[in-house]
Amino acid sequence: MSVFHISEESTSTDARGRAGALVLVASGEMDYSASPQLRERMLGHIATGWRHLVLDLSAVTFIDSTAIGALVGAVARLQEVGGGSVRVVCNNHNERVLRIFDMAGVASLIALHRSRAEAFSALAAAPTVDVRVRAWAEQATARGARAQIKVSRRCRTAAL
Amino acid sequence: MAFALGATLAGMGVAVCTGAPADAIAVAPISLSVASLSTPSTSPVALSTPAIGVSVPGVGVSTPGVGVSVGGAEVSVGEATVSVPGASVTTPKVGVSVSTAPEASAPVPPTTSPPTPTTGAPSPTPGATPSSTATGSGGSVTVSQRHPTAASSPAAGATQQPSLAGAAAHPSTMSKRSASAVAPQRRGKGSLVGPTVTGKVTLTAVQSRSTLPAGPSRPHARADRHAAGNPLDAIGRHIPLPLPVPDWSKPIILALLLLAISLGIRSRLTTLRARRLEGQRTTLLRDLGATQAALVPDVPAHIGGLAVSVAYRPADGPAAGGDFYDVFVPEPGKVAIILGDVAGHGHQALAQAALTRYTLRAYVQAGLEPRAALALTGRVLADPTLEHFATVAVAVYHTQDRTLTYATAGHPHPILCGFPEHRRLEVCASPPIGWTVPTGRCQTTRSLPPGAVVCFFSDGLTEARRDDELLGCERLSEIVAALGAQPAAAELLQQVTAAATATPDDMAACILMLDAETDVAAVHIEEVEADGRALGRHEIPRFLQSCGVPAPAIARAMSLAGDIAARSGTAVLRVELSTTPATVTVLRSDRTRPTIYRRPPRLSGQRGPRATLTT
Repeated sequence: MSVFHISEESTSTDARGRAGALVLVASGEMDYSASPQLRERMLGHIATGWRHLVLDLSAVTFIDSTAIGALVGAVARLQEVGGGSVRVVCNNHNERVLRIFDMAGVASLIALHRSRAEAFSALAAAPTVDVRVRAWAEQATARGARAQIKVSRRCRTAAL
Repeated sequence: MAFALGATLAGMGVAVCTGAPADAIAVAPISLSVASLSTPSTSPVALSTPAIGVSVPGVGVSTPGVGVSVGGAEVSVGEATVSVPGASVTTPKVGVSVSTAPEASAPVPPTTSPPTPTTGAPSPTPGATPSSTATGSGGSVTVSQRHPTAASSPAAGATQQPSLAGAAAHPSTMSKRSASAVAPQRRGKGSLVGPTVTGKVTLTAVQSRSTLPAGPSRPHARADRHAAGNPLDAIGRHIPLPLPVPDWSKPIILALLLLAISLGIRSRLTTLRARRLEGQRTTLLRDLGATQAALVPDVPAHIGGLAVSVAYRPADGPAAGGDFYDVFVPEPGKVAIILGDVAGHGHQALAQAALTRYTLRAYVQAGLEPRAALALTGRVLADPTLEHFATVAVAVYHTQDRTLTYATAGHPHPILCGFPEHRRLEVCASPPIGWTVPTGRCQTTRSLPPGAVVCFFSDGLTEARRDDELLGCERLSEIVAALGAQPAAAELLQQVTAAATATPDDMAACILMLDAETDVAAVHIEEVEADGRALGRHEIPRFLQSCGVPAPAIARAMSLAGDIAARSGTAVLRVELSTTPATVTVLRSDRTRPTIYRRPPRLSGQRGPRATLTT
C-alpha cells in the first residue's frame, strides 16, 4: 500500500489568465502506483490554463523514475501548448529524492530548487515569462511564498 | 359449517347422471322439480320445497357413501330426509355436490332456467353426459355418483327415492362426473311421470372436507385417480423399463437416469478440457520461459577473464517483470554487460524490455561505446507518450587493459567493491531511454583491481522494503561486500529478500569478478557530454568539482567547452581522476557521436553513384 498526498495551493486569484504559478504539494511515496495520478493532475492543470507548476516534494519520502516521467510528460505538454515551466522544490534534507533526481538526469528539463522562495525568484528571473507571471512571482517571493491551501485531496492506491 | 348452501333448488329439475356406463344406471332421468326453496343461513340447511317433482320411472336410487361438494368444499350428508306426503325416503348417505356463487344464498326466482328435457323416456338425459354443468339460478348443483355399482342399487318401485345426489366426486374429477340439476320451468306436461313429491329435504350432519374422516372409499378414489388420471402413469405405461416398479415411477426414474448420464458426460468433458488446458499451460509456461530467457538469459560463468554471476527474481507471478540483462562478447577482447529495468509490469513491459535489450545489444555489437549506444538507443526508442521507458546500465569490459567502461540511463550506478577509492558520481546523469530527452551523456571508465567486484542491479533491490523503509544503496553495498570474495548473484537476491520485508519490484543482479590476480595501471576516467544549455547551468561545474578538479581548471574548461559547443553543438569533458590532480580534457563530440543516416539510401534503378566491388 503506497500512500501519497497531493494538494494544490495557489495565491493567484486570476482564474482567467492563470497568471502565476500553481503550487502542488506532494507527500508520501510517489512511486509507480502514484505516478499516473500525478501525471493526470498536472496535465489537468495545464489543460485549465496553468503554465507554471511548482511541485513541492519536500515531504515526499520516495520517488521513482515513473514519477519523474510524469513531470517530464508535463514539461513536454507545456512545450506543446506554448511554453511554461515545471519546478521542483526539495529541501536539502530529503537526500533520497535529490539522489533520484540526480540519477534521472532531467536537470535540463526540470529545475530543482531548495525552497519555494528560490523557485519563485527563479520564476521571476526566468527570461521567457509573461509579465503578469513575473509580477506574481516577485510578489510571491516577497511574501515568503506562504500560500493558502485551496484544494486538498487524499489519494490512496494499492501498490501494484 | 363450512359452506352456505346457496344452491337453491328452487324450481330446479335435478338430473342425476353418473360416470358409469349407461347401462349400469338404473335411474337415468330424474327430474326434481322444486318450486321454491328457502335456505336458512344456519346449519343444518333445510331445503323447503313446496313441491318437488321427481320424475322417476319407477326406480329409486339409494346412494350409499356419497359426499357433497359445495363450492369446492366437500361435505358429507349423513342423512337426507325427504318428507313426501305418502312416501318417506331416507338415504343413508347422500352426496350433493353444489357449486355456488356467492350470491347464491339469496332466494332465487323459481323459474329462470329452460326446462330440462327430462321425459319419461328411459333415454339418457342430457345431464348424463359427462362434464355437463348444473346451471341453477345463481348456483349450480352437481350431483354425481361415486360408485357406479351403487347407482344401480335397487329400490322399491313404490317407494320413490328422489336421489338428490350421486357421489361427491373428488375435486379433480368433479367436473367430469357432474350432473346437471336444472330447474324446469314447468311442471307436468309429461315431464313428471311419478306422483308429485312435495316435501322438505333436510340435510344434516354436514362436515367440511378438511375434517372429513377418510372413509373407506378414499383409497379407492386414489387408486382410481392413479389408474385413470395420473399422467405419470399414462407415460410410464409406455416406457419399457424392465424394472419391477410402478408405472408412475418410471418417468421419474428415466428422468433421473438422463440427468445422471448428462452429468456424467459433462464431467467427462470437463476432465478432457482440464487436460487440454493443462497441456496448454505447459506450452505457455515453456514459451514464457523462452521469453524470459530472452530477457534474462543463461550466462556463462566465465567469460573473457571475468567470472559472471547473474540472477533474476520476479516480483509477483511468472510474467511480472520488466528487468532484463545480457552478457555477451561483442568482439574479441571485449565483454559487454547490459542490465535494465522497464517501467511497469506485464506483457507490455516484457515487449519493451526485449526491444530495449536487443537494440542496445545491436549497437554495442556494432562497436559503439556504452555512452554512444545509450544515446542512439534513446533517440531510436523515444516514446512521446512517455509511458514506455527503461532505465539501463551498459558496460563494456576491455580484457586487454582490464578497464570497465559503463554508462547509465536513469539507472543506478553499479556497486564497486575492492576499488582503492569509491566515489559515487551522480551529478551528471542521463535520463532513461524512452523519454524524448537526449540521454547517454555520461560515462565512466575504471580499471579493475585484483579482487574487484562490480555489481549491476536493478532498482528492485534498493527499493526492497524493510518495515516501510527502503533498503537503499548503502545497505545493498554492505550486503554485496559481506558476500565475500566470490559473491553469487542468486545469493545476493536471497540476502536482499531476507533483509527486506517486501520486494514489490522484480530484482535482477549481475556480478562481475576479475579472475586475474596481477595488478594493472589504475585508470579512472569520467566523461560528460554537454551542449550549450547544459553548460550554462550549474551541473557541469558541480560535476567537475565533485571530480576534484581545481577551480581555475574548471573555469578554463568551461570556457573551452563553451567555445567547442558553440561550434559543434556539444562538447565532451573528459576528466582523468587517476592522475593527481585531476586533468580535464575538452573534446569535440563528433568522435563519439555516431553518424546517423538522415537520407535513405538510393534504391537500385535510381540514378546516382553506384558502388562497385573489385576483387
